[in-house]
Amino acid sequence: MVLDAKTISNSLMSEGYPTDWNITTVQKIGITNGNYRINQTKLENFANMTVANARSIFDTRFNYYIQLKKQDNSTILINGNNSIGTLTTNTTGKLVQITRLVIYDSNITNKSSIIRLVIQLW
Amino acid sequence: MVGKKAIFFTIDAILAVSILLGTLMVITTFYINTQPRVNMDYIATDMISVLAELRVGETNNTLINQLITNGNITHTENSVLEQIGEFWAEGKTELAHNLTREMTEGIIQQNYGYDLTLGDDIIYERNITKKDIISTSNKIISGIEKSKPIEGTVAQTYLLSIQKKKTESYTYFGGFEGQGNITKYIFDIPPDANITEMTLELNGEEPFDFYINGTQCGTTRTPTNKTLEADLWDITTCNNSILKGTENKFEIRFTDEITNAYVGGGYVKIKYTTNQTMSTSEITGKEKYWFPGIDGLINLYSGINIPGTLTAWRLNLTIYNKYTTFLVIGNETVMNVSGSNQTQSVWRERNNLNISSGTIPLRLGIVNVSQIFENGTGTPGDTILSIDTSGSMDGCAGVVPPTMCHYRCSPGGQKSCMVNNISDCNDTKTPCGGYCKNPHNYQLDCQSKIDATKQASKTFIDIVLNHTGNTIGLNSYSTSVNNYLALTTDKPTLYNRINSYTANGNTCMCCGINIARNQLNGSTKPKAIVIMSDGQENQYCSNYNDYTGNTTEHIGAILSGQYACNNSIDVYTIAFGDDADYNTLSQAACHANDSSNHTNMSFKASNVAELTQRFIEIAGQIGIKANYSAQIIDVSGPAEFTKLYPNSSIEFYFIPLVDPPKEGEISINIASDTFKNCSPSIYLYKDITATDVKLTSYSSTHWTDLVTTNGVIVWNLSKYGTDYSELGDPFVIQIPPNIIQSGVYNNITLQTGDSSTNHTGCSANNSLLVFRGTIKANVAYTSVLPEVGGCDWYVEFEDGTFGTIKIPSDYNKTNQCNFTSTNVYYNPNATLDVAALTLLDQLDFDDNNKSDVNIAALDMYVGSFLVPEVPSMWGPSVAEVKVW
Repeated sequence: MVLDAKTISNSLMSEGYPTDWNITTVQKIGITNGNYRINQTKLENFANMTVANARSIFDTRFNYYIQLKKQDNSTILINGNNSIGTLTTNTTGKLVQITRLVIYDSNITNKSSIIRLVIQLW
Repeated sequence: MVGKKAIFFTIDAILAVSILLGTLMVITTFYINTQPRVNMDYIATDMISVLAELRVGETNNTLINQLITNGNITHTENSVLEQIGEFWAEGKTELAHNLTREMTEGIIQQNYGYDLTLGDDIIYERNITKKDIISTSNKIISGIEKSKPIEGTVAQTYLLSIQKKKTESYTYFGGFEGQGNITKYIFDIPPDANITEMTLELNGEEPFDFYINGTQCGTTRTPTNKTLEADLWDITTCNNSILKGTENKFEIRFTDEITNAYVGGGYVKIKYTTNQTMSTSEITGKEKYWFPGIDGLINLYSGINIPGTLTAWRLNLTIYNKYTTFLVIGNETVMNVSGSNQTQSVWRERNNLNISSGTIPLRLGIVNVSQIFENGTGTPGDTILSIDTSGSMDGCAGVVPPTMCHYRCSPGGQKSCMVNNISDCNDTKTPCGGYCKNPHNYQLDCQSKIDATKQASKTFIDIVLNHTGNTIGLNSYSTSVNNYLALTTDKPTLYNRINSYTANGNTCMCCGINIARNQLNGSTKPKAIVIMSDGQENQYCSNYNDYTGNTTEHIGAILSGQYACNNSIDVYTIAFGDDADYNTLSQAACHANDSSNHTNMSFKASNVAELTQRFIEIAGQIGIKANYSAQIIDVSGPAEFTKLYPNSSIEFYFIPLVDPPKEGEISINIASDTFKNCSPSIYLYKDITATDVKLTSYSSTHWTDLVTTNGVIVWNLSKYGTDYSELGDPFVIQIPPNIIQSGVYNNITLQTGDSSTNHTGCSANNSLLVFRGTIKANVAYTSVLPEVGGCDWYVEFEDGTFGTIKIPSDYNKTNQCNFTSTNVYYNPNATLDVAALTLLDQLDFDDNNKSDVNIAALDMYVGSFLVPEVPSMWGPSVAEVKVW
């Protein structure tokens, strides 16, 4: 599970493939520009994918739950949601969490900040 | 058996369970330990990466906005990590700490400890006790280093000589140039030359007048005649005679006998400033050696310098010589031209010559000079000089000495005399030794025949008496014999008698011949009479012993002359002026069909120059002895004068051994002190690259035959032959620059001689080693410094002088910097000052804080490049994040 979590986090931290991927062309899911900066389009594309499709591409049998968290621990909404994927509330099984640091360009403030990309597998 | 099996399976089961439990424990431990470690690694890597990626100008952060607003952050394009680095480098550690905390505390989970370090300094650390496992990640930040400026200015300084380059033009005399008047040229004085100094230095024996472009420079100069040494004259006051942008002619006109009319090495040097960057004498692959003009006896011992591999040469020689002229380069006779009664132009051209690079001896002379000049009697003789002093001798001789004053005096009639100033020609003065009237009758362009004859007679006496054993007697005649002087060798007595001659009365030629024959009575040597007249004989003699003169024609000049010829006396006659009776005088002379061996004994002269020449020619026939004494043709009098025209030259084409100065290099000349011994040691500063090295040697009438440098023979005349008389003698000897070493003493030896086995010492007091070298004229850019600077530099030079140099050249503020042996002061944070110091250090070859290149004296201009707002090249520094 840890290895899957690392694989998924590394994939998400990449540009993906093809570099201008969309839901229909995606072979590797990446949501940054390759230099730690979140690509809003790719982020939204990822959010619009079905879990099953994403898991297939991630090549994992685990469920994922992904959030973007600001320094004040508030969550950045993605397509109106505060996460991608779901997290069961009564999980008794194992849970793996990996946190990555990324740069998020706010289209509201037109400013950028360092945020956390929190990836949980269960 | 069953029991044993049960035990076996039980143990087997226990082992299986143990393995299973062990595996589970390992997996659990892996899970427990791996997940935090993965996160720590990611935190370390991600933190330093996002800090390096995020620009401060785009960051949504209150602290950063404040820092930008209050000016603590000026480069909004900096990454956050670079900004932290800048704060650190500038010593603003609190700002670096706060910025790091602000950007990291909220994004790192509280259960992790971490820090950020730059260099050895911890910029920020979360205060959690370190664990055994620590993840690290680092990144290099270029352009910052602790306590170094993040950006500033760089500068480069360089020497420019183009503003006013102080330089020199030379014409060198060869090791021996003679004999007779010498003409040299300097061709390369630029049109904008501002002449600052002119010097003449040479070795010689005889007094001479020095002319520049036809104008005499100063008064007659008398060398001290020191063997192997030279005399130096400052001729700067004659700078108005110099022509700029064209050729300049320099003449040495000797005032005495031809035997010592030579220059044994030396030079004319003209110092000047110019805006021109390159002298025409720089190395170009082509050099032209200009022969000196020689008016007398062509007798040249010199040398040529070929600073490369010779590929071709072209000779262009213009000579007047009735005898064979030869030219030897190295030891090869490249020209042997038969004599002619006319001026000859000689061309030779070759694509090769059996000579190598460096100094090559050159010898130009007259073949078998001793045979040529010994065609007179060859033995000492007695001569009577009989001079016409009739009244017509006060007439004009048709010459042009500008200060000749012609009077009609009372009593005494017409007189002429030399005056120092034309204003002396008036009736209130007595320039002619008596009270004179009608001074308005003077003729400034006229010299009287009596004065011209006196002058020529003295020349005759000089030549004849220069040969040991010869004697001379005098008589003068007009209406009768006026006076006579017995045979003597005492020049002053002869001069005084000649000076006493005055013009008056008629003309009795036979009187002069008859008394001359009687004066020679008792002589056992070869005998000669030289009789000169300017007119028609109108007084005669009653017999061959009569010299009282009468108007009845019994015996005239012809009979008296032939009578003397028949009595074994050589009678020479000179008809002077248009009114002279050449017909009578030519019959009075002895002729080729007489017993004498002379082919021509009667002469005409229409002016002073010709009269002098005739006297010289007769003197040459009476008692000539000519032979070489070392390099000198020791003559009692030349039979025929020769001439080498100063437009003669040899052009050499060669492949230079040393490249011309490259960009960033500047050519300078340095001369050593004069040598005090024959084995000097000369130091060449370490930062100079020698490109052209020359040694001067005053060999006087001997040959410079051996020069070594650092144990290497660079000049060996004996390799061209053991008999030096046929070889050249260079005054300037080239030393291959690759033998000269920078930064050490170079050992030189030099030697002079007359043959390969007869050494005569060396030129120990006046020789010089002259370097042309290149120095680096610029310095590399300085490091980035926070201030620009600029100074009035007070600089001490190696020659003991001081100067103030503005760096940059347009500096107009008041900062003072020092570069002297006692004080080096500058602003180390100012880039222009550091660049200037670096340049001065570069010019201080011996590291004594005195510039060896006198920038001020050379009128050099120190230029500078300034590049502002340059990011620092300090560092790089390493930023590291540790997470635990």
